[in-house]
Amino acid sequence: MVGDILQQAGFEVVGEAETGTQAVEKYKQLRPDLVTMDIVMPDMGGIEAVREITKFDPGAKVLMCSAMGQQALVVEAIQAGAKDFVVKPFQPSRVLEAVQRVLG
Amino acid sequence: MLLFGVAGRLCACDLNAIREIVPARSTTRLPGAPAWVCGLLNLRGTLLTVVSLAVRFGEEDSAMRSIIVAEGEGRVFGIGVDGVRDVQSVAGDAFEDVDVQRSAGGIVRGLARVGSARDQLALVCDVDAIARQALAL
Repeated sequence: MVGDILQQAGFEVVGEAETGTQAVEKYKQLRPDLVTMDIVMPDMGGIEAVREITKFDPGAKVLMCSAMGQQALVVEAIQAGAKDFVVKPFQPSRVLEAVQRVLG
Repeated sequence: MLLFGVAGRLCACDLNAIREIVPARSTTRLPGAPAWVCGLLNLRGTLLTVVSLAVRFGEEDSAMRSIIVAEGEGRVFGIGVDGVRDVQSVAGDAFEDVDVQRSAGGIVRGLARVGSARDQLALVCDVDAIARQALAL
């Protein structure tokens, strides 16, 4: 879903991961400009994955994707090193605004 | 609010809680203290407990360059940070509507959008909560 919004806006999606562990591995392998990460993921959770990614690359730019009701976890994710967040259901304009903010 | 950096994160705290900012210097480690309590600092004859927010956020070490001398719960102590960035007034509607009750550690009381275009997200730290946890009040 987020991938579609980004692709339609002209961004290239270089990789996708189904679990937190995969996300960390793919980050190390692909070094993308931006990561969009679900807060809740199978295996290693999204927050733990952010922690691992920012430990590997302190300059990593991670945008958290949160569902309504997960706002408490958003603070934890930002504490873990995420740069910003968007709340589902995703509105393309909000997602792109957040992406631009994170990419600076 | 005072904006400062901690291990790549942008943080903020109430300016009224800040007394001064001094360059980081070596501290005397306190045996048995939690890892995020760096130790004691002799600041012009006054002993201050200094904490590392980076370690509190789960980082193993940090490039601590400044110590924010703050007052929380009536006690003066030092908060070690990477560097002080800015002082900005933050309007009430810049605070994100997030529930922080379950957030890690309880030293962050919210998120605020800061910067001239509100394009940066800052963790708003609670100086009283940091004092309570660091000084075991």
